[in-house]
Amino acid sequence: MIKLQKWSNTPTGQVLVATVFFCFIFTVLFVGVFKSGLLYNAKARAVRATDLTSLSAGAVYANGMQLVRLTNVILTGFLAIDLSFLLASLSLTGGLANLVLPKMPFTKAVQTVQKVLFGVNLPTGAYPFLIFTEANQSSRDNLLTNNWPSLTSWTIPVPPSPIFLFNFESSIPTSFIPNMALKFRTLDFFLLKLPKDEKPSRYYYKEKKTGEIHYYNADAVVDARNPRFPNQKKVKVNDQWKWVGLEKEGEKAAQAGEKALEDEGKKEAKGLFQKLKDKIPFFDIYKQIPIDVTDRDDLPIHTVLVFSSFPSSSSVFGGTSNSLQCVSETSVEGSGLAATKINDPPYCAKLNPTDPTSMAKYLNVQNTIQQTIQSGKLPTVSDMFNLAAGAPSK
Amino acid sequence: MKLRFSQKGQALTEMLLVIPILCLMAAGLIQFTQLFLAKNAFEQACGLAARDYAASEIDDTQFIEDAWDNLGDAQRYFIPGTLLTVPSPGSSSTANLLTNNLGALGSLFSKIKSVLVNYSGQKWLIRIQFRAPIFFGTLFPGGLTFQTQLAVLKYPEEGAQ
Repeated sequence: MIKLQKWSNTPTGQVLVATVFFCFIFTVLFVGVFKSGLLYNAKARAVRATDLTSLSAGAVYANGMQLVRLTNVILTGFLAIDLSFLLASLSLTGGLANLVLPKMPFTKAVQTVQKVLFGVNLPTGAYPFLIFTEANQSSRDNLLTNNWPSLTSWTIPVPPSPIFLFNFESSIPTSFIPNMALKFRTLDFFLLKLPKDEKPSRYYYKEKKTGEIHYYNADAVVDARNPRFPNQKKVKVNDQWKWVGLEKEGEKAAQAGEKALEDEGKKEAKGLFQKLKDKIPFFDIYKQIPIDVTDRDDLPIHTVLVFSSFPSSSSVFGGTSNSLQCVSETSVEGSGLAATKINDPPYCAKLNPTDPTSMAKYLNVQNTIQQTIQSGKLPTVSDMFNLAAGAPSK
Repeated sequence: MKLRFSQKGQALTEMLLVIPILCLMAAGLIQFTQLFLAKNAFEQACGLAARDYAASEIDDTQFIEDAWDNLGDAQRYFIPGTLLTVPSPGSSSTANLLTNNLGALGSLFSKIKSVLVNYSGQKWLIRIQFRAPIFFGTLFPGGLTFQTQLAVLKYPEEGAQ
């Protein structure tokens, strides 16, 4: 030891010690660059793979929405046939009995097909399941970690990966994944709503970006249920719901905004059907008559969120092999599902920006799904987001 | 003899010994970084080309050209003309598997199929030759081949981004 110390004090020894020291530093640098380079590439691949999987799910979803339009056209045709039969029977019987409980066999047959195919008012359906399988296959092709059952292996995925969350922002707690966020529109949709007799409370809201104050009736403003911006409200403007970045400022009526409020009130026309509704009680049955399929949410929400794992080979030099977690969200947008929209541009899938800080929430969702599966139950939205029954309300 | 044991110029001697090693290591480090930079640029370019395909901005035949364009400045790291897609079985769409036989039944059924299943999938296995810089060239005389795999389904209308 003393010999070595003496040798290291000689010029040759010092040079060699310094060289060894620098070699060590550069080796550490090399390892650092190598590991970070591998991880950086893995991250780029993980983001890309998750985005492409999400877009693939969106493409199948968009195709499904076009099919909904098509079935709505067929439904409208059968509805016309049923109505013609109904009118014919009315002219024969000359009574209103058939009008009170109309039997529309053709319409109901198509509605049953829609119900089973698209999972309307059901936890899931055939087509949502197809979206799930296609997205699952896409995740396999993109080399994401995938442990869902395939045709060759039927094992319970623990923990499940990737996770596909369909329209989770507006899901009802009992809904099963996947679903397409659809419902049947009832006949009372076409009845115009009367403005309430009592004078509504008036609120004023401040626009976050411009600071501009807007005045609305209480019934014109509802919670936007945007998980990213919990305070955001949506407001009915010109008979259409709009997303507006508004936050409640106060409740006292302000003079300056009164005129705009009154103008809004005048736009609510009192239709002939509504006047009839006031006179004839059995008009309420129209709430029970389903017609075509429409969006469950107002504004429509059709999103697919993919939470995935990508295997990384970072187990170099004794490290543990990790997976990279990624989130990607695709929204499916279009002009509407009514039969009249059949010639409108088809629905399209668009990638939404995602918040990386939400990753912890989805890791929690993954654990919850795992626990639910292990306890022998099917995971519902309420299980995953720990929602109390009835919230979020729809 | 006097010169041999003099301590004058010791620092210079040390520097002469160390600097070539340092330069060699620094150059290696830079080239190492370039390798990862090029790999990352390749992955990004392929991903962007796949998204262009999903948005119907390009068709499958234009994929290579688009991916090469997406490389931008990083093209200098690669040997031109070596970006290739290796034939791989297309993305096995469940719906296509179910409805493929419909087309064989006649043009009417083929039309019905195109209405029901109006999306298509593509899967690519892509390779490119990395232009190995001088030190890497010594270690890997044949250059380095990068490979990646990706797949996407597209609904055949514009809109996906």
